[in-house]
Amino acid sequence: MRHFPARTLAAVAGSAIAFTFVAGNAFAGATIKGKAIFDGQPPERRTIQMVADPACAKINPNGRLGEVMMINDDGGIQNVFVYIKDGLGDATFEKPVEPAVFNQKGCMFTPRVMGVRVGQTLEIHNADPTLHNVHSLPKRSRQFNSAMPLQNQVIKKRFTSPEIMVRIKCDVHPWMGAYIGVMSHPFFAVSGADGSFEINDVPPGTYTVAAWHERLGTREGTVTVSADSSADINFTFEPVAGK
Amino acid sequence: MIAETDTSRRNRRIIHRTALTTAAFALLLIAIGGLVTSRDAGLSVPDWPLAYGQLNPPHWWQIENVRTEHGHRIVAFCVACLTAWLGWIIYHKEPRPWVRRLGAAAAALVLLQALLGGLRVLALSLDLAMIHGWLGQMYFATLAALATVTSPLWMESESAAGFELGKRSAGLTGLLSLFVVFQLVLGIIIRHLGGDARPLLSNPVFHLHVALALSICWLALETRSEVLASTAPTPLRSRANVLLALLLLQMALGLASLAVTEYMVYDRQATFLESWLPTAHVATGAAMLGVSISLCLYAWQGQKKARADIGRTPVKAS
Repeated sequence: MRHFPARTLAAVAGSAIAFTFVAGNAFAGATIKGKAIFDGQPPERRTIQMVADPACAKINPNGRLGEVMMINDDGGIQNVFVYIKDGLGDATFEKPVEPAVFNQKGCMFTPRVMGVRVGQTLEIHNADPTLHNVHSLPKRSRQFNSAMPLQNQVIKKRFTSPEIMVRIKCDVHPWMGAYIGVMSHPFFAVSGADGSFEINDVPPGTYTVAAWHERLGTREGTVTVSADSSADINFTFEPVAGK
Repeated sequence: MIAETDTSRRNRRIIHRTALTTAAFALLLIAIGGLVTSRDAGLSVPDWPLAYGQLNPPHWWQIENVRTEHGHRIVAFCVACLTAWLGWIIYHKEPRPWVRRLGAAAAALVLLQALLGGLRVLALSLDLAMIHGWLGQMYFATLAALATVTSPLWMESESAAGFELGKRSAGLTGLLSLFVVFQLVLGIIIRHLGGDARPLLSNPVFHLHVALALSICWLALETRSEVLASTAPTPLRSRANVLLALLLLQMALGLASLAVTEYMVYDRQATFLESWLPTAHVATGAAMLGVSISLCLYAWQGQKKARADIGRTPVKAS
């Protein structure tokens, strides 16, 4: 017992050194940022009518704008999934302990586009006073189709293999759709309302960065970053016929 | 020939009416199944045999897709009970062994069909969904055959006088039934692939579907001409006309379904026309199969009778 404080002190000091090393590495990481831009006349967002379920219609009495093509006046595209596609080599990255949260709210999936890590817990919530089913359609992991009949119900799922992108649908409400990028590394982001994105803590190097949109397809670019620096990369998407 | 007693006549009437009722409900079930596919509602109830862990999921009647899928299950249960009842009365009251076997086949098919439907939900398998769709049509064809061979008209055809539908009718109706079955397979593939099969105009499966439709047109027209030119009784002549009417309706529904669904958007609730036009196309296809099978059975029966008569005709000395 006499030696306990000394051992504790040593352990705390060791942890502090380790934390500084890890944190130091993280802070030395670079940032890849940019914007997803639509080169054309932004299409009008379609209004989704939810009369097929009275509970959804009650929440959204005038319907709700669709989230497939969310483009602002400056051409910034929301919900573009941007990720490092190539250049990380065989590096492995620790799986996050925190779950990724995916919700069903107002009879829509929230968020519509997101990323999770392979093996990371995906916590799925039902905030709605109606029943939903969460149906994943991966090609490389096992599909699931789970009933969520209760409000505030939470279930947990995991994907076992990386995949761009896994479609999620609710068969009860056909307008509900979402996409999840299942990643083997933490270097991904989803563009915001103005189309901008930022991937932080990237190790120095040269990377192929890809940007995926559910209707507009995928664009790729190359970027080189050094420690503690920032590099810009923009992705331009042209209109797709019939979409 | 042994004269029919009142009891056997009454039994036959019960069997025939039950077979007809079951076939009618099976056609309704096929239509609701078609609606499930049109609305992409097949997996809206993720568990089986329960629904959201209960016999009836909460508010199931109010939510369109849940109502469609759960309603399909409820009607399927009723049809399965009817089929079991039909199988039971056939087993106990039908004297012909081959009809008893057909009744047992119908009961086995409905059971297999229910299991397939459940497995499709649990295994999230599109392949099983397609097999489920096809087996439903085969089950209906079995019921149509049962309704045919238990009818008073069939008894008449089995009698000494019998009747013939024309020399080519056996081949024509056989081929017609086969083509309709194959056509249903193509239709099931196209429908279950949904957006992945579109645009249909550049899909080889759809081209085959159209080619087969044209072949079926020719076969149906030839069958009708053959039957109308024969000494067939009025109910069978009417059946040949019904076949033509169904064919015309089917072509119209097919074209309308193509127009409505070719560029449909899949991330919203299907509209009334998007739901019901392809569903009516599926149900009419099933009805065509039923009528084809019925005519085919009469044609083969007539041919068998004609062969037997030739065998009995004494050879004249030259």
